[in-house]
Amino acid sequence: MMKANLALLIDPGDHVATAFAALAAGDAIAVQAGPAAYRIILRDAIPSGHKFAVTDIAAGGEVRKYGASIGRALCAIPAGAHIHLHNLESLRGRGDRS
Amino acid sequence: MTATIWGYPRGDGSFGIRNHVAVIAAMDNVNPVARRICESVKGTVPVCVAYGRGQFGEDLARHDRVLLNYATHPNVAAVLIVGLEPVTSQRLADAVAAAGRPVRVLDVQSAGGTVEAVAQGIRAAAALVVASSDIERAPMPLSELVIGVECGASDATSGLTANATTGLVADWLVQAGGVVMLSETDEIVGAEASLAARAANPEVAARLLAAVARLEALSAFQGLQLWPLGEDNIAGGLTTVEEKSLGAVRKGGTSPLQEVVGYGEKPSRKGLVFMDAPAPGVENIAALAAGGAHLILFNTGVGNPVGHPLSPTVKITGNPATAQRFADNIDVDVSGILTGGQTLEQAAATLREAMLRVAAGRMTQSEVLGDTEISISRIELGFMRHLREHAPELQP
Repeated sequence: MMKANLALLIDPGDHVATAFAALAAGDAIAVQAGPAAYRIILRDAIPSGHKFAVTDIAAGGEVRKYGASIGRALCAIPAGAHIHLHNLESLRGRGDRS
Repeated sequence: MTATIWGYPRGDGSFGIRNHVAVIAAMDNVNPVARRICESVKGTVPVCVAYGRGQFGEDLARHDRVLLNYATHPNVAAVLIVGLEPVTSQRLADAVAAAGRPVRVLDVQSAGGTVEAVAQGIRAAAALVVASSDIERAPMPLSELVIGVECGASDATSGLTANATTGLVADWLVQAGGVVMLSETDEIVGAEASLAARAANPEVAARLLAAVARLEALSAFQGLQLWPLGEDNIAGGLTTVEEKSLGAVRKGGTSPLQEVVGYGEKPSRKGLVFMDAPAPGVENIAALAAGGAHLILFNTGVGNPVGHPLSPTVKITGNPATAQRFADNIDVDVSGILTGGQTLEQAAATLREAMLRVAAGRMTQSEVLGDTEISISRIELGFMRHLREHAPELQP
């Protein structure tokens, strides 16, 4: 079953959409922002408020939301996968690496 | 929408939206005395602090500046200073008097202990309340209104609902000639370039970028990741500081950035102003109130109850679950943006109306319930020395 209006793509250039309901693995989700439209089959369960990839993201690649970078992919992230601390890291204020 | 609201005129030409008598503890060891005085005298508000003793250099200067700015806050009609010993108490009282605000002072050592100090304090505070109660509201130009915007216990709904709504109200107030203070330096990291691009001049942009660079230098100095998010932020779906920031800066709106001020400093310009202060809620509203915010619009995703004792703090959520579960601590519910009952513009009109009602005297949940607190941020003096020696261009 196609589910609509359960997730939001903020900027056409974004790599992630945000869920606004608890979504299940296997759910088909449609999101659109301007000219960018995706129909995604979720690979993971997505809690409300959490993000999923709308496109394949390479390991080490930039991840974009709000039309800007929100960090770097720690591994390859396929479309439909949950994105959170396990596969996305911040690049700012990393005194732990300096 | 009238362009005039009603406020309490002060001798210095400013207007307050509250008419408090503040009982200010000059340091933490006399907080209980300040609280006991306030329990006995209607119309008083205790201003209690952590520390005040054993502080030095820039750290002490910040503590003193914030207390002086509370004593001369537009929402404060008169002040009772409560200290431990006479010297620091009188110094603060003299500065308050020089600023033209009615002030009384007592210290617990000279009074002969806390019982006598409380008795003296009750008498002094009662006299200040009676005198202050004669002040009547008078027309106050909307352009005199100063607000702070803040978000705490953020989640993925914050940037899309409450912060976006507050941004529209911020733009409206700037158009009307007022002041909007955006703050939380840690929460512009990742979004600072777009904010700097709106700076009114290159110096303002440079000060903003220096504030962010100073935080990154602190991260390197401490050898720590500076912004691991709060557990509630993470549970709410936020992953990185960049993501949190991009949602957080929306609450300042889209106006040109006119000025960057330091922690608890009063802006000298109208319009959108940035205050360099840490993001944790209590520390941040402590700074915004010291900067003269008449009220604070405080957005929360997962739920944060706290407000400032002198600046009425309006709690706004756009998270439908929080609006229900946390309703006792929410003043304005804009969750209709997500559930479909409300456009962003309708939510902004609701918030604008609520803000003007609070300015007119409607009490906020944190005022009524007493969920108010103050923590003045400490300055790490070792880092200040590090900047002097290694990165003087980043000194505040």
